[in-house]
Amino acid sequence: MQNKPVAPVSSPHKYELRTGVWVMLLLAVLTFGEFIVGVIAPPWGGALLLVAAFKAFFVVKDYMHIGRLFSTEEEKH
Amino acid sequence: MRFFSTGLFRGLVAQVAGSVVGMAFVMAARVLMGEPAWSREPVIVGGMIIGALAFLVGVGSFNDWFKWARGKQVSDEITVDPNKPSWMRYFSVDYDHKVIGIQYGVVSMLLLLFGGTFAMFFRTELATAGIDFLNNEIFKVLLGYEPGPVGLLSGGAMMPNPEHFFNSLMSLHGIVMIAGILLGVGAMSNYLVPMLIGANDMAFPRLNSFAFWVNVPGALILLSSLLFGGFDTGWVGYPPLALRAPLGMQMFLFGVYLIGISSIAGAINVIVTILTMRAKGMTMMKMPIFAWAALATAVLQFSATQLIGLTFQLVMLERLLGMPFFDATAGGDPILYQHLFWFYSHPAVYVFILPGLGIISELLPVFARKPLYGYKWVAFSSFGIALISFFVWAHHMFVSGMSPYLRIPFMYSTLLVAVPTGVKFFSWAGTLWQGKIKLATPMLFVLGSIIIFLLGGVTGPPAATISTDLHIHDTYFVVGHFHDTMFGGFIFPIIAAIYYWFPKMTGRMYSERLGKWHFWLMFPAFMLLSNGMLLLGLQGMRRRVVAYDADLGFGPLHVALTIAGFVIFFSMILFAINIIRSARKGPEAKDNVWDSRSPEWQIASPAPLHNYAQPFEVVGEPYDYGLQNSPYVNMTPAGGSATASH
Amino acid sequence: MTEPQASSGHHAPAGASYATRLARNRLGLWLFVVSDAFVFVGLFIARMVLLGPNRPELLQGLGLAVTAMLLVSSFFMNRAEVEMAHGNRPAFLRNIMVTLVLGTIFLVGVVGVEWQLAPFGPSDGAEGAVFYSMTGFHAFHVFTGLILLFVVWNNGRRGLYTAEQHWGVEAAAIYWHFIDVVWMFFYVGLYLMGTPA
Repeated sequence: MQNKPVAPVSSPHKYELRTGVWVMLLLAVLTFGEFIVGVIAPPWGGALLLVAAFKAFFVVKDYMHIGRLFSTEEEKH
Repeated sequence: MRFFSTGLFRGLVAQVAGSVVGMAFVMAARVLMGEPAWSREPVIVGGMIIGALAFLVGVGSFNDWFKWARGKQVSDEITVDPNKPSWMRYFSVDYDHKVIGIQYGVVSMLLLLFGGTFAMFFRTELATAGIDFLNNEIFKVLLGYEPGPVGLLSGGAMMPNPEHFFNSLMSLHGIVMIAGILLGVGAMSNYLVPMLIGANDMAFPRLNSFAFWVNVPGALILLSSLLFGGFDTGWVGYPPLALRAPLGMQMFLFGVYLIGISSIAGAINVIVTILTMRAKGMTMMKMPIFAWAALATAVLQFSATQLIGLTFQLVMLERLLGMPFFDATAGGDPILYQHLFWFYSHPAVYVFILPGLGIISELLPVFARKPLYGYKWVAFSSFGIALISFFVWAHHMFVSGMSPYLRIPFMYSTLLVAVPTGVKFFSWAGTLWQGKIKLATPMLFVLGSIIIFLLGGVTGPPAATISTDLHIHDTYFVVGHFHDTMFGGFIFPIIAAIYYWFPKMTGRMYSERLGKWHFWLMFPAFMLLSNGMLLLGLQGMRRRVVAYDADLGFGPLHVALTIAGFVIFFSMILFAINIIRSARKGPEAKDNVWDSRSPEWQIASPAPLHNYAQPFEVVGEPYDYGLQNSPYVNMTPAGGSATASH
Repeated sequence: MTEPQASSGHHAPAGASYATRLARNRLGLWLFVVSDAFVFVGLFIARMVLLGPNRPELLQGLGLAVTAMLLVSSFFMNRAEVEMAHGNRPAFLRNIMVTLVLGTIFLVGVVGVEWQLAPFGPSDGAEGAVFYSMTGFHAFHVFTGLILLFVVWNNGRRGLYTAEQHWGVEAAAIYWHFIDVVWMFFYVGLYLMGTPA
């Protein structure tokens, strides 16, 4: 119905995109760190799993938006 | 023939065609990889998998989803074509939860009939010490061939001998009954939950229909295992025996996998329905108690079932591709299978019994005309049982070679199950206390199930305690205990539920006389059967064996058990006759036959297409029987056609 | 245009508002995600039991490369969803296309390259069983995810989603990120934990 071809880039829009970038940077740094540790010091498996859980937390929170599941009011943009 | 235009017929045709296509596909792939085209197991398994998918496409389960994927609108309106006879709805994809519930129920009863028939065969065999019934002659009559290698499909070593045939029947009895029970659980959840909570349908009607129909190819594939050599592992399918069993093993694994998918999809639907679609004013603590049981069951189903699905796929992969997960000689671990298997299969037995215990709690107040004693405790006890069930699985493995110190925590966690279960018994006793008990057929079965489940309960701790379990494991004591819990926790309650809601389903009344006959034949016969099993087990009778030493003196008891088994089978035939006959020409039933307070009895019988013409409002407690001026629901709230309940 | 699942207002059995159905759909999808996670937890347990302190001998560079592909694809999936939520359809389509391409590269990297180069086959001991089952189950999910992404891209191209109503996009995103999360653990489990056998 309201098919705006180019929407004005509003500030929540920008903020959301920026959050995406930050999470990506975090994932990149942590993954590279995991890789280094995994190759150099193999017996650190448990710690690496913790790092993986940390990464997963941010993906679940900021990319999968688990919070929306518990919000009662509907999102309005 | 109108049957040829039903979804079921199209699905069956598609399954046959799909199986052929799947077999051709695997053969082509093998030729491309430079191997001989025909190899029995991979080719037939490929056909089986594609055939099951083809059934679902053919029956029409995916139609609306395909339309969504192509971006088309689909209607949410349930339309009933008045030109078609109403029975046709039950043989095609239909989104009405009441239709789906009855579809589940009928297939469940058919599977129980198959499972019972298998039991009759090997029970007859067990009446004598040697192998006197399931010998080569009866083998030929039943399966049409001599034991030993025959035929294109069978290849080598199909049903090599009568002992294997006995083992296959025994294994199939177990797993077909379990399939029937799971479908029965689906029947109760689907038919009852939306009506009890005041919703007009489930949250996801398409998923609901898919969850039913995936059972049909599942059940067919499971039963077809008998044609492919059967399997002699018992219903647990432990490797390494499962890796060496005939091809029928794959039918067992894949059939159960499909039924597991149904369980998961159905459970997600039940959870979302209960959490988001309750009537106005119906807080969680004012739901009919069965909804609590269904919710706890669904939580177990949607999580634990995935692990049996995974495990069975790993066994299939090991058989097909030689991936050595469970073969100790190639680096695998058979105990891993048992851990993964029981992590589902122990919670699964609570999946079987929790809805039944919910039915008991639901029906008792109606027939005792008293409030349900300790509603809140009963509601939480279902969740207590569900929660504890995740931490008890290894009590099945006390003699499997697991680390001895691990046995102790599992013994205590298992004994802990008795606490929430005891809460339920206390509530039932408290509800019956000084009640004005009406002994209609459903109530007889409810009382029967309480007694039987109590027997199952008290025989549990000896099997959970390490020191005694080391002696009674793998004896008929465990068999007796299990049958007590299944009959008390599922069979008797679902029969009670069918009698109780029969007028709601059909608008007609069943024959009370036949119902009483049913009970008074089945109950004593079952008491004899299960107590006989317990006794035999204590005397040292091993389970899962075709023959036993005649000098051990088990003979007379085994004969009695066989007779009891046949009486149960006969009583179930009376039940079937009663149901089928009454559905066609039983007397018209009143709208509220049992003077129930529950909302589903405040509307017409059979329930109209969309259950409630307008949303009702919950204004009181569900089980205040005998209290003056304390209504549970207000069917016509002042707002008239109020806003959609949420 | 409205989204396929949207009720167009007639009195249906589940004739609830779009918002109500959105909440229900979300809950249902999340329950499915949790349920599906049990499969991967089971596979991880199998890995721990069968391999213990060892890990299969794999190509580290390739592992890091495919992992990067999948993580970056998740980033673009998130962008696609954000753009759709703000009604910017061209950007949505661009981003989801990038996600599709990266996901395909991941799939080819695992199944087409890693499976061919691994020094063991599926039937060669516990390493083979664990490696091929873990990557195989995951790759199957990636494959179904790619189909979903394609469906969403195709329907988006035809203008079926709006800033207000785009549950299809959100569902595909949640599923895709879930696949990504699973791989975060599997990457550690297969490539980084323990000592090479």
